[in-house]
Amino acid sequence: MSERIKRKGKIPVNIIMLLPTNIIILFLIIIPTILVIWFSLVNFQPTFGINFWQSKFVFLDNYFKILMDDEFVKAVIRTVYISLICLGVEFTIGLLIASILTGNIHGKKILYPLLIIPIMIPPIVIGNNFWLIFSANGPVNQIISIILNTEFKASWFSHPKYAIIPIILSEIWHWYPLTFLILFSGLVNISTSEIRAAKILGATEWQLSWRIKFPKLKGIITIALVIRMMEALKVFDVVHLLTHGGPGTRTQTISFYLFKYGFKYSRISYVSAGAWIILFISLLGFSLALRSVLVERK
Amino acid sequence: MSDSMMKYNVRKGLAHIFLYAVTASLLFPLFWMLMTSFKSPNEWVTYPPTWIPTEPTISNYRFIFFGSAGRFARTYSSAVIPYLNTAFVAVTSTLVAIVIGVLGSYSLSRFKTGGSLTLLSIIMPRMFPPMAMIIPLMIFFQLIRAIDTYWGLIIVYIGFTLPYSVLMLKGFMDGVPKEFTEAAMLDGLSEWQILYKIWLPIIKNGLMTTTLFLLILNWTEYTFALTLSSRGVETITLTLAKLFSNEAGTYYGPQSALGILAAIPTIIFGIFIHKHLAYGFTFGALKR
Amino acid sequence: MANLTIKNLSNNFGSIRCLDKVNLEVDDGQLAVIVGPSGCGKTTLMRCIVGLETFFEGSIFIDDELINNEDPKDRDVAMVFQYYALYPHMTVRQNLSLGLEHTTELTKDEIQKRVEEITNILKISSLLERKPAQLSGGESQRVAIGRALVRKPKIFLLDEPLSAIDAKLGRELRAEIKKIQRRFRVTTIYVTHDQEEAMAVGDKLVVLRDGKIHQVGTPEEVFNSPKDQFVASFIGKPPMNFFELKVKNKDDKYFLQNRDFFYEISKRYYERYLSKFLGKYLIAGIRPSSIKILMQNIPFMTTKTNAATVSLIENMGNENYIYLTLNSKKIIIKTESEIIPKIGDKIKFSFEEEDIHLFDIDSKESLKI
Repeated sequence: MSERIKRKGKIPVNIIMLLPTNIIILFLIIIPTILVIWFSLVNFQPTFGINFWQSKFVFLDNYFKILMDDEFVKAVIRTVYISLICLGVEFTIGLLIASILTGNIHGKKILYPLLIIPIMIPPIVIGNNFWLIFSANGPVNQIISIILNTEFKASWFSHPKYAIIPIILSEIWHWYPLTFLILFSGLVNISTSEIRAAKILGATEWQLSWRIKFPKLKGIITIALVIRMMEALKVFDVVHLLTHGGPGTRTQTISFYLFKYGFKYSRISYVSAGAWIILFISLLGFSLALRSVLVERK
Repeated sequence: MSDSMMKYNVRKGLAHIFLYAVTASLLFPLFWMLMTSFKSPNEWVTYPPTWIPTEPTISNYRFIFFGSAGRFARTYSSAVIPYLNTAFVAVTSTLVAIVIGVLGSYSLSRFKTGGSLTLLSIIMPRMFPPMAMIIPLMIFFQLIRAIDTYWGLIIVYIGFTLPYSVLMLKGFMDGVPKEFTEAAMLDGLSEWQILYKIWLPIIKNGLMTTTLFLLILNWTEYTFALTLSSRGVETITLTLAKLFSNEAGTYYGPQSALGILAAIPTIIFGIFIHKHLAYGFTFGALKR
Repeated sequence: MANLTIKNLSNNFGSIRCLDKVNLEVDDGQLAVIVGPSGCGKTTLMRCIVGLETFFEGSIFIDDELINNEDPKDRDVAMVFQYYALYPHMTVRQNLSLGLEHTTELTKDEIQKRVEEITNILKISSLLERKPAQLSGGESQRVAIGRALVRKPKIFLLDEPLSAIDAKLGRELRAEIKKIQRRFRVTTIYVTHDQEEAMAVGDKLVVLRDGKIHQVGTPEEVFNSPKDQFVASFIGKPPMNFFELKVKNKDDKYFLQNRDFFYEISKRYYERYLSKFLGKYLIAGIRPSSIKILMQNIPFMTTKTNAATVSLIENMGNENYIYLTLNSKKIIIKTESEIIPKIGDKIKFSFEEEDIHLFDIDSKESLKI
């Protein structure tokens, strides 16, 4: 059809319609991306009073420097392990709720939207939420005290070891609905006739899950993992609100590290190089994960 | 009742109890915030904490709306302006992102050609740390004097939500049977008319879903507001963070009240489209 | 009122040629049915006429006016889609008036008059304020026809209009379509894969296979004198029986024979059609309805070895299909007779020599034209 439109000599309507999208992409995605590439290759610090196009070209120097930076490496490792813990717990919770909820449960219609409320809440409110329940006089300390039967009054957010716990928990709480939603829709779509057939053949509940449901969910699980991981690598709001990466740098994530060095210390070249390294690592991980799905599907 | 029947019923009962318990505990943080928002100041920090306010009060909400003449008056006035700011910025940028997204996704869905580059450049940046993208944006915005302005923030939000808009709408539009389009072509409709008179009414629900989804994204956004507009346009998330840091997070009651107020619109929108949330967050990778 | 001329139309779908030098003329007011097995290019041909598909070479004329480069809306054609494609969010009235609003200069009142006029004729006036979801299959179809005809198009096209409807209703509706077409006297192209439907509806049949037109003619012509073996096998139900037979001469008697049976033909018949083929093989086709079962042995047609065995009988109501096997060769007979053999019976059969269709063994083309 597009040929017909072109023949008239006017600008094809499909190009016109795509134009606004492409303009936005150009100014908010492509140009910034090119700038970030440039920044990462020069030595640009706005505080020096030198414009970025006049900055000294240092090639991969920033990359080497940031890779040698213990703080950066630790932030990366910390983010990855926070993400992995979150993913693990979220999948467990998600799968558990999803598989129970696919059964014949009373009040399903109310429980379903209730269970996914956390994903709709602003992260900053979630941070506030966890600040409240983990405060020294809050309910978490109270419950732990009751369980341990001794007075327990940790100040979670300034504790070098514990401070990461509320952050991880708030992340889990925010995002478990996503894994739940994805797994739930996957489970619902498995044909009931197949499951019934397996049951007639005498499959146990365990075999049913492992042999029939899980292989079918593999693709959807990988998609969920990749997308969830993409979000997890961006953890910022809660850290910024609750701990500011502290105490010390104990709860510093990639995003917070980049924020700190970019906005507080104005080390823009340094941060840009870091961003590319992170993109490279995540692309590598994601393409491996996605390839396994695509190969599977063929 | 047979033995296996009994077993089945017991298991079913346990599943119910377990699920209700899990739901209750998962909703506990929200419950706690709701309760705290009705507590009077002396109840904020008592130990052991009270789960239900002994003397419920709406003074926290009054504080949030009207500010207070008390010792915080200096740093905190009222949440009304930030609330209106958020609503204005979120609604405007959502509407623009929807209009642009409708045109773009129609083009991608209808003509199939020449869009793969656009699609790629839409999805790829989602893997890039947003912090690093903000820096060049900030430099760019300083050049065009868009820092700390409404329109600057609106543009950023449009850019941030456009990928969701295009990909979600494209998914809905791909479901429109091509016969409708062809019938409309024979009926003499131009491409614009086909979009407006045929496709949009058919994907009405999808359009609604996408709009609400974008509203949620914009409403909950914090990072862009913090870095690009915090001195000019205070959004509700910024207000909460500000209230929080000014009082070192000890002003539990008003914090909770503000948190509740900030979360209510998104919860309402979210419940409306809860069936499509996964579709949105996975960029349409997950089928509706 | 208009006539349609297609000259040398060719189209490629990827690397596959899906239309190959198609030539076709449809006269004013005629109902032409394009019929062929699925994938034969009939829908592509129609989409080329409508303008929904671009084509590779050739030309299409409506009323001697070249329309190759016209937009679909400027071609003055209207189409009923396979699944009707009624706009789901509009009422029947809006569905019908949309095209008029966009392709004509008529005022609102005039449009409403036209809509009401046509809905009266089609007996769908009571449905005007309904939405497509509230219509039955037959009603939807009538609305779809109305939407096409309300614009008074020069060419009216229907794409498999009965495929979404069950067989019994389909038979009623195709009579209805024919009636409507007569009433409006509009030049019509009707696409179907069902030869029975094509025979029942068409003034003119266009038999298409692999993008090539095999035969154009009235249903009677196509049925009685198929131009080639494909047309012969495709038109008619159950399909024609074919035998590879050799033309032989012995003592002033002429035969068609192979190792299964031989058939004696008259000298007149031989001289008229077969004199060039003496000693050569050709294909003989006999319609199942032309074959008669001989309960007694009449030596008009005799099998050389055994009689054929009845392997299956299908009762189709007022007629029966009898499947015979003769040395692993399958033969179908259609009979309206009350007297039918039983499975396993050995029977003999015969047919008139005038009912034999003769085809060249290489070109598969008819030898009787």
